[in-house]
Amino acid sequence: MNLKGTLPTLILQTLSSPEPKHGYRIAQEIKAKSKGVLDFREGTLYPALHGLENRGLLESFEAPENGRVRRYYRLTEDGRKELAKERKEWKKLATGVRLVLEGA
Amino acid sequence: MTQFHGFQAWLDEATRDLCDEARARVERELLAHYEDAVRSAIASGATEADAHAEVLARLGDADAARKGYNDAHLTRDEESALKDRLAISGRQFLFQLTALVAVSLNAANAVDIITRYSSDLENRITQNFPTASFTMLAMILCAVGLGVYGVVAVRVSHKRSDLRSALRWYRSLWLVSGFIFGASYFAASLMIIQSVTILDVTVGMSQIVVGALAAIFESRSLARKLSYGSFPGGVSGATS
Repeated sequence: MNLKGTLPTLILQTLSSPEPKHGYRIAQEIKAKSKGVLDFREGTLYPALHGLENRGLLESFEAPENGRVRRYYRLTEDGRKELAKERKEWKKLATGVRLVLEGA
Repeated sequence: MTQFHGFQAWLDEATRDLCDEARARVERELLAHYEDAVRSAIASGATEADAHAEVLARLGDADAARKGYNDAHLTRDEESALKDRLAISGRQFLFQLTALVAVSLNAANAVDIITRYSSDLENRITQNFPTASFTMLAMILCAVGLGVYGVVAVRVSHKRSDLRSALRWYRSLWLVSGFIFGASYFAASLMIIQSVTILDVTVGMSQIVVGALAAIFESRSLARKLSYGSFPGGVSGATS
């Protein structure tokens, strides 16, 4: 399913748990949690991650893992606020779409 | 190994516009991602060749990824533009500093001459007036120099073609003003005081040296820019 425009929100949601995660794990979690329904080109994951970091919604740091350096991401306080706002808007949108589709 | 070349080609295309720092960061992340994904695919039963092909396909279009990276990171062109702007700011500061030194030297010499003749009212009026006028002229020349520099600095930041005329402007402006200031001091000292003191020689020579050094510095700096690939504010003008 096309994720256009929703990937940043899904990333924020995936990072809402306290532990920081690297890009590969974020991609795997999005796919696993949606039971494979939500698929995306993984090359677009990092531009989205870096864009969120530029906006101050995420922060990242490098740490060693299995003998190599990985970059981990976690939500900032602004990121939590943005996620709460996005969830609210998404629920509103979903309700509206459902009402229209069920009405048809 | 051949399969890995497919990923390297994808990576080169996706990151080709990025500045070195951003490119290194993106490459590190994507390489780790790719290795994890290939390992996972092999663990799930895929052959090595299939694993590489599958993971590469999952990355998607390199051109689309490149656009995303260019939005999120500084490109090489943007980095060059920033460096150029910083270099221009640096030269502006240096120019203003040298102009301030020149004005201060003029003022110091004027004060020195006035002090030397302050006990004699007639001398002060008749002899110091030309020196004060000269100091005023020197300050006006400095102000004009600053103004010309400001106009040129703004223009070169917009059109590369103006850089060549800017180079000529800088060179002649500094050399001429340096020689005028220096030579005028010697002439003024001889005419007004009928003698040249150590201070007069120091001030006069300093003016010439400052003017010559600034001309050399600006010429070299701008000459480098002329052979530079990119320039801030867009290169819309002709490069004649």
